[in-house]
Amino acid sequence: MGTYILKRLLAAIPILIGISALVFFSLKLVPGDPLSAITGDAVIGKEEADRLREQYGLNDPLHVQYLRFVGRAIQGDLGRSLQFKRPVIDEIGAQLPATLQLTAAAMVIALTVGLSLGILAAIRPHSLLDALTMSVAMAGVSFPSFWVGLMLLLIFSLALGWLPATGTEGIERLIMPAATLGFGAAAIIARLTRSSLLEVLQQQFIVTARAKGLSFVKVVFRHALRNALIPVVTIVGLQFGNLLAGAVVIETVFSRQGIGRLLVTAILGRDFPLVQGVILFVASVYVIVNLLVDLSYALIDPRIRYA
Amino acid sequence: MRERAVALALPRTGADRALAAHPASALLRRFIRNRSAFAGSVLFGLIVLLALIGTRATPYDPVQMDIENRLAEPGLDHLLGSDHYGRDIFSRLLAGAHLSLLIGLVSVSLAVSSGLLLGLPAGYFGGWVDMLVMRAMDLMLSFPSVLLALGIVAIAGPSLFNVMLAVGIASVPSYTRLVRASVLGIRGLPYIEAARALGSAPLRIITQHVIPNILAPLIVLATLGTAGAILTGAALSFLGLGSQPPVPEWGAMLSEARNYMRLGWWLTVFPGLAIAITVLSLNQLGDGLRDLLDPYMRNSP
Repeated sequence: MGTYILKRLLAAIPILIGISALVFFSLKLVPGDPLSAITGDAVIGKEEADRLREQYGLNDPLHVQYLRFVGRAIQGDLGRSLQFKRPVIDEIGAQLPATLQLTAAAMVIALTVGLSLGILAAIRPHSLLDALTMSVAMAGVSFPSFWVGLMLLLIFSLALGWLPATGTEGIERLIMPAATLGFGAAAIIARLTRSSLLEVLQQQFIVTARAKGLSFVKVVFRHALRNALIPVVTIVGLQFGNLLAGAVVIETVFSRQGIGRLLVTAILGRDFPLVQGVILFVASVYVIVNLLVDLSYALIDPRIRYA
Repeated sequence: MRERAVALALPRTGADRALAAHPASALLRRFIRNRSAFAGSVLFGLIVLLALIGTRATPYDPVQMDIENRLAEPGLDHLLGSDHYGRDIFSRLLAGAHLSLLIGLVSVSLAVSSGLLLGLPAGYFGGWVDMLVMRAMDLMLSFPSVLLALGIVAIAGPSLFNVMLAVGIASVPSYTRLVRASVLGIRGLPYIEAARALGSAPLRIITQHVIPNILAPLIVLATLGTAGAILTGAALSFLGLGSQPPVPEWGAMLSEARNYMRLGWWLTVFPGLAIAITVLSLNQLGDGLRDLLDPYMRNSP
């Protein structure tokens, strides 16, 4: 187990290096003078420009600039936002709690709804219940999340007046955004749980368990589910990334604070240090979460750590 | 058993034989019998038809403002109501339909062709080519795909074309991986070896023997991928990164309508419904095709 963890940890390092390189060099593709990323719209003389270029190391070769970028990033320095005139890391720190709260709530909803729908559908395949749950799941993968959010707003805020439409504070402002964001992931989890469980239920050890007289419910929960959930765990890690990225849209729909809205503001304002910082941050979080999922995967399934 | 053998030996009519012998007609029959594939394709065909009509003619001018008739409720005059500028929503949906389809078509074509270009050599030759391609794909996959698309739009600048480009590039890894895996699955099969033994050049083997045999899973992924691309494209437009008002792109319409949603439910309901139905039809079609063409993919989500 120790070797396995170490191997996985080491494998994450080149990926993180690759991510930082991709983010750094692709933003160098942005047309225009990199100096304007520092000065913004201010008009400056040639001498002043040369001095700033020297000061910010823009005359250095690209690989030197990249190494400096990585060195600073490791110490938590992601540069300064042009729009907010503040360190990028402070902006991220200020917006992070709201997004974490949203994605965590969405994940809880996605898991409870997705797993229960998937299990219900699988134990009665081709029944009315199966058809119904799978239609809901189909809607979940087909409906645009921002539209689902707007529909919830229309019904629960504007028509019924039960929930506040916008804002970040309090649980009543979390319910609709989390439900919207969780719906898509719930649908994917439900579909996967159903197909995975159906497959496991056909295997011989299930027949054996039934033959020795165990009840169907016991067989499903004690024997089948354990095996069926392994692919589901993998998808949960991937879904976490999709939830983080999906928060970009949902935060805009509900005018919530968060990293997602920060990113959209940065892109629309062409605030490249901020864009670079947020993307690097979210991608790194995504890699680390998937690493944790991989490790938990080994805990659940001994076949993986001994393979 | 004996009866069946006799039946097989009996001479049949020409038409009968043609029908039974041609694998395409058997597939067509199964396609029609598969409810999901059939319903999806009929619905999607209808949407394509409406989109084609929408580029030529709409009941009202989709961008013409008509302040006197603003916010008209859905009815006989305005089938799906009119918006805050008095523009007919049904006309706007019709006129914008081809844009959503175009986002799907352009981005998926880009992704499929790049996927073939990268995945075929990676799978067929293996070695360092494979190494290089797959590491690059792993790197792209370490970003959530929507985030990757957002990053590309950030660099290229907001526009509908850049959204197509971004969505296409962001989905290249899934196609490359699928193509590579499919090629790996058939690379060692006798008919490929036979072609090689006969002295066919790699390019000829790939185009004549490999590509036709990996098409089935690729078609399934491309169908489902088109659905996903339309969703992502609409989301980026909704965020203001794609087409800009007054272009009646569905995501951009929702983005505009969001500010006026208190004034009428029809402003936000119909554009979203249009996206949902289009994506639903493609997902149904893709699911159906998966069951028909690719028994091995049936269990993926």
